[in-house]
Amino acid sequence: MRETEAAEPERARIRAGDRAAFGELYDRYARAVYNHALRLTGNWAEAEEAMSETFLAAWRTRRTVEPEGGSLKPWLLGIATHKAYNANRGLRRRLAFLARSPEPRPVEDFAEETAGRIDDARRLALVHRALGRLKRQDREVFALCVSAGLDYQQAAEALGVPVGTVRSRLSRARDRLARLSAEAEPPPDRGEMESEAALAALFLREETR
Amino acid sequence: MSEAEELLTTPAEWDLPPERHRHFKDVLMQQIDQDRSQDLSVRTPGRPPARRRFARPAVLVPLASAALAGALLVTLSVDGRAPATGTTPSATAAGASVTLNRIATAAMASDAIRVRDDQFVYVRTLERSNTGDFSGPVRLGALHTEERWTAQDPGPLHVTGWIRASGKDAIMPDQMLPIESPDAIRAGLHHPTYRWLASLPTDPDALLRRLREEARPVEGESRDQAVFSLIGDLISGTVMPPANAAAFYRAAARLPGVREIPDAVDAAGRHGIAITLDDTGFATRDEWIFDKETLALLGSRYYVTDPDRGITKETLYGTSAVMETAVVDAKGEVPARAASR
Repeated sequence: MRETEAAEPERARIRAGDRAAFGELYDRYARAVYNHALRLTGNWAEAEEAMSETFLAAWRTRRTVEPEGGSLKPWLLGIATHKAYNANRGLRRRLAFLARSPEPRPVEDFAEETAGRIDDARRLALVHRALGRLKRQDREVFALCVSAGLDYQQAAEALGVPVGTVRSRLSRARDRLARLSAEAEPPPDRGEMESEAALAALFLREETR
Repeated sequence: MSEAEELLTTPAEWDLPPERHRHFKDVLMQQIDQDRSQDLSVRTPGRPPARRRFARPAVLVPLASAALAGALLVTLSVDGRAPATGTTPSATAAGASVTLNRIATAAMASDAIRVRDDQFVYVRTLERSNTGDFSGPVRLGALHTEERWTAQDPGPLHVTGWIRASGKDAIMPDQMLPIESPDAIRAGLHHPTYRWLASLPTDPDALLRRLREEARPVEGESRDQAVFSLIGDLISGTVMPPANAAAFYRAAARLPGVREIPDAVDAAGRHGIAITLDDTGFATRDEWIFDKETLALLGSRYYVTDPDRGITKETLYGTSAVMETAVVDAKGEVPARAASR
């Protein structure tokens, strides 16, 4: 008995290049892909671009989808992970990106933006900063498992690595975040550091999933 | 519930406005329609289009996985052989190769600067860059100054250098911003120190082989285009021995599709000869600009063509001019000549 019967027609339609199936795929997963890209890039424009490229790449590589299996979300998030990584490609772009992304702007800088946007921007900066403390591979596993909600098997599928590797990267990510959370010694002028530690602690509580 | 908690318990916290989603979905659907119509036109009716073979079908996803597993180089060297290698260079291409070899000779004759591992390479540039988003039209920002201090410590380093921008449209103006990376970086492609650049082959063929191995083309980009932009990254804002600089230019001269542009202007308004890599089917094109007399690198320009975001004509999306390059003892230190200006 296959437990994924419901998903099979979708896989078959995607593999066959069914136009409507791609429309549904977009409607179902665009948000998850966008959020995953946002966490990894920390940048609205790059996340948009990565999301758009992810679906175009999914269309072009549809025949690489296994005929049988569960949800297509791991496949899409795997492509998105690669796209988010590429978003920072090129030394020039990378330098500019690295220089601007890790520092959340102080609140007063957002004067011209709406309250909701300020909130979003600060939260994004927090998440990106916390994730930014992890090694890239650990961060990607963490973003897939904890934030995007994939299980170990799905994350392994998304990244094309063994399940054991997912486990060890995730555990390394958690150790690191635990240390960050324990340190929690914010410089006096950087209030967000406290929230970062709180966030790290929160990520850790997810462990029981 | 704290905002951080909320952020984790909601699977998708952020979203785009519906019109953005409609736009990106349209982009996808148009691509599908375009590919399907091309498919049908080359195929007898009744036969399912699903059997069409794409140029790079199986490579992409394994490539994504391999990249994440840290085994990218092996996978990549299989793909991306330059399709144009066998073609006869056109007249302009031959001109470009001649010019690049002259540039190499000039570089060879330039003064060698000694750089210690505990020093920083300082470069001051004038920049104009795109302030629009990636999906819409280009909005070129105002001209501003950027100063960069690149650590020469071979690492591994979490902070490989510092940037300070000033002027309108600068990102976080007048602040020293660390160029930091969560993964500590050793001297290499992403941390090009003098000593690492000096360790590269000075034989242009050997250098080109090495760059072809190390370049990472993105989807839609040819390997030669990736090598061209990699050389552009490495020759600008760095200091290296003259023999290595010459080898970079001679390696570029060997790329099929290099073309000379007799007159180009850098961000500072200086005119020079430009070298570019012609139509590679990729959305962007870079130009390196050299002084007509001294053949020294003046700056660069970047162009984009992307009908998906309404840019149907080649459009300038960035320009840069190298105003000063020097070696200093500490980050934040400015060469004396610049300080007295």
